[in-house]
Amino acid sequence: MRNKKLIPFEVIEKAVTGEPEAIELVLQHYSPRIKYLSKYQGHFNSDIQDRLQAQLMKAIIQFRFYK
Amino acid sequence: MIYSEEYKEHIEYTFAAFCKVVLHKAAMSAYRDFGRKQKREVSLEYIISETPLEPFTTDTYFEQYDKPTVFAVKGKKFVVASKRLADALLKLSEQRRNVLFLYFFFGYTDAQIGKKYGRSRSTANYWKLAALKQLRKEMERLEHEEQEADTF
Repeated sequence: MRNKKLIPFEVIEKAVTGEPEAIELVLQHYSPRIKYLSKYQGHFNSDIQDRLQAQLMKAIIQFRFYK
Repeated sequence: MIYSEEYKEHIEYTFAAFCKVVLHKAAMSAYRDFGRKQKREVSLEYIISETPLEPFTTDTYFEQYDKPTVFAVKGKKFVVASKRLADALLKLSEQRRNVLFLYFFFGYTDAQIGKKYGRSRSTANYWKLAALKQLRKEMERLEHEEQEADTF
């Protein structure tokens, strides 16, 4: 029984190859977290949000799981 | 490649942790950068109200001369604002003046100028140097005259 809260393996597999839809799904999955982290000095900061999204996208395609 | 269910689950957890770490680190560096920026950033209104200088300048053209001298070369008109330079240019021969304009305003090379007049590159180079030399001489003479006129 896999954890339902996690992103399915199939999506991860696609996202790391750079498929836009899968990456979009990952971004959506983490959007609450990004929103939460985008608060700077008590205010929501859209610049930070953009930055976080960009860095997450950059990181997703760098993720490697096969040995 | 076929992965076992356990391995897939493992990857899911690994990926989740990976994303969390990435976001956390990205957020930390973003806070740091924004903090730095805030420390140094000054609003434009503050600068304008605090500095005695005007925040901008406006260039003025052709105001100090009654009639700016206009040279026409190759269908283009050039206005020479400096009176001394214009006078000195007028003293040059038509051809030397054209060579200077071609070289400095049209960006012609020596070879191109030479071709235009049916002469060699070195000839064009000589014309240019001679024209510049004469121009300098004329300008120095005019400067002298102005100084003399001032002293009397």
